[in-house]
Amino acid sequence: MNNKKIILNLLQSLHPEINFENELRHFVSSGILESFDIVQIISELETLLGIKIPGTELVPENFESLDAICSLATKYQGTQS
Amino acid sequence: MKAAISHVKIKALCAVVPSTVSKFEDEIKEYPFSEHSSRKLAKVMGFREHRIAPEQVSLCDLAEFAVKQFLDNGIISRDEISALVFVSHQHEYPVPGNSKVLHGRLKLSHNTHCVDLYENCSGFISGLYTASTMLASTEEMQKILLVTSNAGTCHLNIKDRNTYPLMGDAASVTLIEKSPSADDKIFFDFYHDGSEVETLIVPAGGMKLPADENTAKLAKDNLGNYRSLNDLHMDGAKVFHFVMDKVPALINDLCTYAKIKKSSIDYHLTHQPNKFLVDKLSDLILDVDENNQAVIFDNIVENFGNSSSSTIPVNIAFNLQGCLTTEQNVKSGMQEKLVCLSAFGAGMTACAAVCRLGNLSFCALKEYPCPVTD
Repeated sequence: MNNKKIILNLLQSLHPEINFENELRHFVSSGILESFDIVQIISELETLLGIKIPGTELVPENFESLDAICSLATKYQGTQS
Repeated sequence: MKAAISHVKIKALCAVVPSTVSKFEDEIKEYPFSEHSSRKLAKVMGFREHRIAPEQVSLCDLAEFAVKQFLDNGIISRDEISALVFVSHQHEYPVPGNSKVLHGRLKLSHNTHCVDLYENCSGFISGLYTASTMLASTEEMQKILLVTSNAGTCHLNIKDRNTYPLMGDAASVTLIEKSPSADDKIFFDFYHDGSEVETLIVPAGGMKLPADENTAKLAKDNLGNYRSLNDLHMDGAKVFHFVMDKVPALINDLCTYAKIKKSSIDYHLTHQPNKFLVDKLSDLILDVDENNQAVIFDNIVENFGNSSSSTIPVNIAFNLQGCLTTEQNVKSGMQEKLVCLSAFGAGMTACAAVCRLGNLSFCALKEYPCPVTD
């Protein structure tokens, strides 16, 4: 399963009421994702992808869209956890 | 603000937690979220169990119990206590201050100076600095007891999953003494940003907005938690970023100031607001490039809860009580440890202290025997 699919499943499990794949609003700025959601996303990505995401990356811009979250995950897949 | 205080040493420490244990699994039904989502969050944040004193146990009850451990075990006599520094963000009475109340309950000497510090999560380090400067200021100050205490978690809003499962009650007493050796030093660094006051705040209950029936009304926030103006309001993302941004840099600066290599620190003893934050902070403190072997504990919230200014002494007593006393050091042949204490919280504030810790005359975590409630 590719990262996009993994992340989409993760987002849907947190907020099944939102169609993240087609969502145009910024996830954090519009209030769809809040800080505890981001904490869970980070934790799940680290477990599922075997990566380590530094605390300094927990900024809203990294979680505003599916592509942004994918970019974050990909960035740290090149680094051993 | 950096400072180095010489000829001072931590000589004994006791942390006290209430015997009453409250488990997350029993609280989970109170939260307006699915149990599944709450359990997922619990794993990451360290929601497991916490110590909550019942209503009839006050912060001075916990504090008195802690100091009596020193008195009953001959660690210090009443006449030897030059000063009592009491740190808390709560009060036993609006008037007089906690230190005076405790002075009375312990029947301390009339010559013991009493000081009250209003402090939140950075209180242990702030109190350590205050006690150290008092010792350095005059020959008459020889031995100071630094007390931290926080209770009242039982009055918090049990429906607020953001805060309730993380909080806990605890007290501590630390003996700080004047030392003949100039090598016995504590280095400090403090950072404050008052423009971030609203990041972590209890809006009502003080002079700005006295508590009344209106401020006590629960309102649902945008996350689904129920909270009133009398409850703690926290911008979690801002707090997190403040800590990630300021604390590792503060520790680096302090090590430079103290002329020590950060890699020589044996233990980083941090304030513990939740497991996730401590784990992320640990990654930043322990630079991979420096081959840092230091140990950072992240187990206080899941075992006891966040007890504000008491979390550092609880951290020390729970995790290191097996290796810090003189008896243990002599038996094992181990030297004193180089430790870095760090804390952060409401204000916003970040602070750190570096010192040697070991050869203590007492180091223990004790339980206050709470009355059993239905």
